[in-house]
Amino acid sequence: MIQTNALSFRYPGHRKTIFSSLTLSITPGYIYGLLGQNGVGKSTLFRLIAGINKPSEGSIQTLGYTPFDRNPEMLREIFLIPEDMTMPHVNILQYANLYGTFYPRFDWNELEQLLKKLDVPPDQKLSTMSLGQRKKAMIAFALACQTKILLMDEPTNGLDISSKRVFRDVLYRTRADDRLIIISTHQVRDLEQLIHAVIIVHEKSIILKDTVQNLLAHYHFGPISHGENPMYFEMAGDQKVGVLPLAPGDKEDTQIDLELLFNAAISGAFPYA
Amino acid sequence: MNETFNFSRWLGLLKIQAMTNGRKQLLCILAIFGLTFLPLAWLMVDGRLGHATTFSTSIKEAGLFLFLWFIFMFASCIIAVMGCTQAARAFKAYNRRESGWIAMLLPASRLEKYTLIYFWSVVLIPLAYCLTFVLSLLASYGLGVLIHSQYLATIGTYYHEIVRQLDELMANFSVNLSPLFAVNWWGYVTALFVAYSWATLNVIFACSAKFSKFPLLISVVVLCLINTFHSIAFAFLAKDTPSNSTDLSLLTEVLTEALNESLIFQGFVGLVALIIGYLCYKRRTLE
Repeated sequence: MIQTNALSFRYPGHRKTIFSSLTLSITPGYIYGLLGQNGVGKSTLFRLIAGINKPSEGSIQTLGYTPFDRNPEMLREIFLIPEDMTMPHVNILQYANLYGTFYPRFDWNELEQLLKKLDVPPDQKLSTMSLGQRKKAMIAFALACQTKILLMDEPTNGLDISSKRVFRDVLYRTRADDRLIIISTHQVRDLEQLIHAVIIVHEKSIILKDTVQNLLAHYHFGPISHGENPMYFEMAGDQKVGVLPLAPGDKEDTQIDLELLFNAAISGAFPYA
Repeated sequence: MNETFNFSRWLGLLKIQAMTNGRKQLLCILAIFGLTFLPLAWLMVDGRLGHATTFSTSIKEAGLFLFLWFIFMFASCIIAVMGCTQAARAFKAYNRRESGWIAMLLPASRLEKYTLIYFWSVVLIPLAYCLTFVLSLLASYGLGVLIHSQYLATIGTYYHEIVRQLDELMANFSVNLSPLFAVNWWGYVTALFVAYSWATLNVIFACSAKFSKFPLLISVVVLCLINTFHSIAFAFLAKDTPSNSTDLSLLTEVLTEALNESLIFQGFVGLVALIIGYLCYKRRTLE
């Protein structure tokens, strides 16, 4: 669904290279968590996938199209919710009436249900909403568009506690075999029960891409007992926590600790496969 | 790649523009209509209700009329320029990181999006302002006819009568009034040309990627302005209008000729700008 080949990118007029020879293949059917430190290029990767920016070198294919051509056939199957957004002076129903027609599978019933669940006032102008409300409105609209690719940049920023729970719930239900959802966030705790796969970006390339199921089958994430030899550890108060390879016969964890995984990955504990 | 053009999608884009930016434009159009219609309507009503000799008896009233006429017309010009500028500036959002993504990722081709931007800010809005101005003249005349139905003159006759009366009144002061009326129309059209040039440049600017735009923008502005002023002024001089002329048809002829010549050039500049703008739009990215 998304394929990059030796992709390099730097913003025109800037010296800093964001990606260097990045090769990546992302398949549908999963909810991916895209993790990385500030300024590492998570949002840029989204923009390259969506066709807002053009690779400096190498190539990228989204749904078989070169994204920068911004072919309408590709654009109707991709939706990006950016971190910052300025919205027009219309309410979400007017917005959906104007923009929804461009998406062939746009579902009004789905939108109305999601707006109710996420507690978005349908008659308030988007431009007058708080960031959290705007995000919720756009999440509802994006999900109602039913595009094959959904890219979300920090979607839980600005969301209150109950909205985060609803967000996880509605997103989990929208997973489909032909659909790809990528969520970029620093708030990893929000994603732990939601994502199926992890992509970690660090120092211009991808250092880890794996499914949560596979990671749990091979590693333990959590407290480390005395005498164990973890591949990565840190102190959480008085307790030693870390990542430990599982030995044959060890019981698998039921939940991944994304924070530990991320710290372990950027410390170089995982070789990129 | 082949750029597709789907008219129903294009209409969808137009609907988005109308909904998000149409209200301000409508207000501008109403303001221009009101400002140009009011002084004319006042004159028409006042002049046709048995006070046909108004101007020949009261220099005070004529002065007031002229004062209002120029103030209102000046206000119309300002609104037209501001409206055109606003129409083009609406698309500056396309270049902002927080708002540009909506337009860039909207499932329509770049050709559809670009022609929509061009149509909205370079064709539709300036044209609407021009039509509004003409309609307000017709409406004031219509009002006069409605009030005084036996007055079945053409609009040209109507203006001729106004000019004649004012000219008679001002003869002692050696003031030639005909050009004053022409100046209003000239001023309005010039303002629209400025606005049109500005809108064209804004379209290029809004759609541009990284290219050396400023020299291009400045050159196009200067060319448009010089051409407009030059062609109109030259047409006036070439016609050798008599200082005491009250022949409105002569002025109309002079203006029409000047404007036609100017319009051809503006059209050419617009076409070049359209092509350059589209080429830039294809390469556009957001930072």
